Amino acid sequence: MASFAWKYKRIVSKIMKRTAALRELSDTQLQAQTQVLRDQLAAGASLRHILVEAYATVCEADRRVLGLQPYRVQVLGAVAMEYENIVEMRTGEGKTLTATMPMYLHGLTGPGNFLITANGYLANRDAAEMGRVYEWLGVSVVSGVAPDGDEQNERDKKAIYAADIVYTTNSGLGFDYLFNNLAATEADQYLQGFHFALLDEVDAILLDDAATPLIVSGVPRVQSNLYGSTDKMVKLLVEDEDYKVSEDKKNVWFTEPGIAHMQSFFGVDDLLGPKWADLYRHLILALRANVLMTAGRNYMVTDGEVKLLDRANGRELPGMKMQAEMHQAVEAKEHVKITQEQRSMASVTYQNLFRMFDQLAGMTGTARTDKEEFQEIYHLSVFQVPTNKPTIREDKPDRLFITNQAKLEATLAEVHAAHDAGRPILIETGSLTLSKLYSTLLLREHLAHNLLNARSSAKEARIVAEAGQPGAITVATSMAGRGTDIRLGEGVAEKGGLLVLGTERMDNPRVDNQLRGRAGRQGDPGESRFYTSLEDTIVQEQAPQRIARYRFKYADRPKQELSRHGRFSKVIDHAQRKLQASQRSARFETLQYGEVFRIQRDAVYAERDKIMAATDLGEIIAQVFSHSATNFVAAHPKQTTADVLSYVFRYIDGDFDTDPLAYQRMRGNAAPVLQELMQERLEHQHKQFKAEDQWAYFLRLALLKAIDTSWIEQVDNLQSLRTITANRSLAQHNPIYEYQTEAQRSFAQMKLALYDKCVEYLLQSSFSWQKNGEIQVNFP
Amino acid sequence: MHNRSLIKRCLWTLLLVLILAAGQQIVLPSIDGLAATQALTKQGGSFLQIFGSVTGGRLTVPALFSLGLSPYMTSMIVWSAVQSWDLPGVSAMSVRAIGMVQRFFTLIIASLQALAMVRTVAPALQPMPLVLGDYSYDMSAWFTGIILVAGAMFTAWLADLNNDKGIGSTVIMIVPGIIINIPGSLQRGWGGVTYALTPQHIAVAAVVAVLFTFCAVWLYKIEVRLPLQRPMLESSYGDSYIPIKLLTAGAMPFMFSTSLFSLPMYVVKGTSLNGTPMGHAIMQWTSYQSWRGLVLYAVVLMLLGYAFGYLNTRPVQTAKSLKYSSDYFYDVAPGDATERFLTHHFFVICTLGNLVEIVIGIVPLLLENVYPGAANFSLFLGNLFIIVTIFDTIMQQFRALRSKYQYQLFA
Repeated sequence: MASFAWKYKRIVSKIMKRTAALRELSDTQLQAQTQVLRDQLAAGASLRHILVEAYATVCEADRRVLGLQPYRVQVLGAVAMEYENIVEMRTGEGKTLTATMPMYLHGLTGPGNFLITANGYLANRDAAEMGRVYEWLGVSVVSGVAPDGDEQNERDKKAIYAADIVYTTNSGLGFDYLFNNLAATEADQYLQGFHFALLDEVDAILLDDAATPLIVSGVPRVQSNLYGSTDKMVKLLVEDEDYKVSEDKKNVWFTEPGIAHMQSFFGVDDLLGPKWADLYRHLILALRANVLMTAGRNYMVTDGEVKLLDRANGRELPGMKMQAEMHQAVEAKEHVKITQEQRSMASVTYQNLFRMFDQLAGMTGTARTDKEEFQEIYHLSVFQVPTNKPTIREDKPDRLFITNQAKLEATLAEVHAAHDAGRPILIETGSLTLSKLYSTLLLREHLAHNLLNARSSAKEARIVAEAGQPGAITVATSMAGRGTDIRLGEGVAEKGGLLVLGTERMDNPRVDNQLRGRAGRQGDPGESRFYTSLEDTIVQEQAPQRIARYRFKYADRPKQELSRHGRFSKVIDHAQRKLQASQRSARFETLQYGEVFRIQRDAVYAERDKIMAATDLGEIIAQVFSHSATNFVAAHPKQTTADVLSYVFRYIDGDFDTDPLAYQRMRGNAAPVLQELMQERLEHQHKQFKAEDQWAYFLRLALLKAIDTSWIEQVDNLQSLRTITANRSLAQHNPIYEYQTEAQRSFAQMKLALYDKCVEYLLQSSFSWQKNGEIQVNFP
Repeated sequence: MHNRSLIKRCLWTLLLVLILAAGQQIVLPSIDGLAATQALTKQGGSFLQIFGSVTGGRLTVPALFSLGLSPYMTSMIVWSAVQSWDLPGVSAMSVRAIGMVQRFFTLIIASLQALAMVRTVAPALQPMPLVLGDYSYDMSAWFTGIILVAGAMFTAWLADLNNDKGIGSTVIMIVPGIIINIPGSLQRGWGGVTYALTPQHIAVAAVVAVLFTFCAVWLYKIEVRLPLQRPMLESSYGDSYIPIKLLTAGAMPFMFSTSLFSLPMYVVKGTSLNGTPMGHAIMQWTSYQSWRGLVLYAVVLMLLGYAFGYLNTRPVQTAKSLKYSSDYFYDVAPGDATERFLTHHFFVICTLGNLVEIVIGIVPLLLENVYPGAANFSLFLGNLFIIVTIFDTIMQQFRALRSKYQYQLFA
């Protein structure tokens, strides 16, 4: 957006001038600015209107409180952020300080403003450091993340979300949003609107993790006992004979002889038939767990538990489990205790979470490669802020090898050379397994080094901060230690600065650039180089078959290094582009399908909020009764006495005293009579309560529980509908339209079930009284 | 309020269709309309003209958007054929790159069609001399051609815009062209038979149209659903199946049968074959009025039915993707067995569907001997069927959009 640059620069000049003028003010006068600005907002001034004054105030406050005066480029970045931009600023250009300007501006409006950091450590650190400025100015700020070692559940969420500015992480905010919507009363809710979010490392959140759903799971499913036996069966099978694996190692399937083998093993004649469908399903799960899932790459086994790993940084994903019983299959494979499969109670993707905000802004070191996507999905442009000092880092061209081994040997040679020269080296690997492997290699060479194992972000930050000392060798995964600068130790700049050594190219050029950006901070010297091979993960998974053949054929050739201008020079670039394209279309798809999910979720949550806020639930309950009764009548056009009785026993009154008179009245006109019965029964329930407020609480709880139970079912259904409708395109049906129509149908079904469930919970619950007057509700 | 987005979409489409229809009426200033009409009636058989008509172009008096959507539609079909080969380079392309390739195809096809059109109406071009000193050059052919190509590209853009903001995806943009041409095509047919548009004839056509539309809507909805097992899916909600439509190829055979069938005739007329015994035989086989012609026409419909049906159903690719996702049919092993299973069903269903399409296309021609003028209904019904299939898509979208905001728990 170069065309806007002049406009932003003009505003920057005004701010700089105004900041200089504010120097004259006393501390008290400067602090009084907050109230002045708030008054202007209350009088109807827009945020952009008071932007110059607010930014100037923060700049001056930054200087007085922190001793840091924002540079011109930082102010430029802050201005661009307010004008719906993602600001691209290099590492070390002071994004943390830049953020104080828009955060203060939005903090003036009251609660609902968030700064989203890459990890909890940074949220706590920045809320404490930068928080001094806001508090000095009279704007409240808090970290939404519990301090290291404290339980997340023990946070005072009410106090946190009442603050004007919250520093928090994306997952923290996402889960708090979900739990906020599972609350039983208004008093248990804490969120106060989503007005503004400034996302640090925005590309990681809105692109890399965009489609990752945050899931609150809770309700257990029925457990099967076939995991063990199918796992044993599958371990006996032979690759290429009983099953085959696709070239990219992402798919696996049984062959006909394999199916025959399994049939004779289990002594069944019809494994693919309806009778053995469940067994076959478990065999598929076991096969996938054994062939496609690799310990150390997809998951890790610690303390008898299977834990998922983040592919990008090898970090453990706490609380995350594979869906569709894959997790149990992997547990069987690893012979650990098989856990309960749980159903998700609520879920949201980052994409949808952040689209709920009135205004978004972002900052990162690398965004311009994905400019179009930010524009299309989030309506954010990318604005590049020039560096304060020119970058003099040297990005050396990649070196390409045939085998991984040759590549690693070459990197070791370079490590030795740099280490002998006393330069610090940062070695970046693609996965946790590889960084452990590399660490072993370094030990063999007697090179002392630090290994970032991504266990604790605080410890990680300390190690990364030390990575610039003379002779330091640090091995890390690609995402480790983001947000912490590597400052060069004494004498290092003269030796050429930090050397960043990539042991393979990552999923996309954006991440590669992030890694390069670790060196050459604020005009420091630095150097980066990637080592690649035809055996790298990205090549294996994305490149054409001929590469694999070449690799196989020349694996033992003495000269392993390939020319930079030869026919393989573009292999990595192409593989990256292919992966990027598929990831991008996956994100678009998630967005399109997610739209219906979002609308339904919003409708359900809105209804929940309404029930929580309602003073009189009588009307809703009457509606529910009428719907349930009429739906029953509509579903049973020729109802028999048995139909009616089973409905009454199930939903209205389990001890219903058969009343012949009632049947007579029901003839041809059952609905009103059923509703009468419901009202009578409701009165009966009411009489058991002594206090009115307890009765109101029970009604609310019953309705909310009915909604939540039905919604859990619906979340499941929507998930499977997405897969189911994908094939409809074969008959010229647009899958998305089909999905929307089916989703509507399943929502209608959910509503019917919901009414019955409401009736059941309201009328069939029993109560037990505690001594202290508390009541315990036992739902049917 | 709920359906604001739906209304907005309908208005967008209305606007875009109006723009297109208007542009199709504006005759280019470089053309003498009367002379052009004359030139068009005695069309020859140059290769370019054949190409133009095979790719769905119609020869009319050149107007701003005369080429209409046909270059774009053709390029989309070519592209889906390319995609069905499952080439590694193609599957790795980004959405953006695919868009570029499609535009490029569109441009080439539009250029060739424009060339054909300009060549045909050459006598009607008004001279537009470009004078450079002593040298003078007539620009009118270039001018007309470039405007036509630009019009086609603009139409493609309109169609994309409609896909984005309107209703009925890209195909709705061919509806105005078809509707405008219906009376003319009913009157003239393929030439040879004239069906005068008397009030009585119009009434007959209207009744036939209504009855046929009902049948066509019903026929188009018929699909065979092969129940599918999805072991990796947690919830058992919803019907999982692979659908195969009875009319697997949709209206595609009708869009292309005429031009493909007329191809040999054009070749004969335009080459030295004209007048030779061989040429005569070919003319016999491609005449709508001889039994030989009818047989060949049926064969052409059948082959097109298989070709487009295959593109739509993609049994081989479907089998592969089922294999990858561990989905299966009861008692059919993944891989080759599934592929055979799907291909078998495709052939059976597609053959039945093709027979239905042949009935639609051929019966009117057979009835010509009993009811003079009936032959022209072959083209007429074909066009109606195209419209029915397009509106089926629109209805699907309509339903989906209407349902999108109808979510309330207690109401």
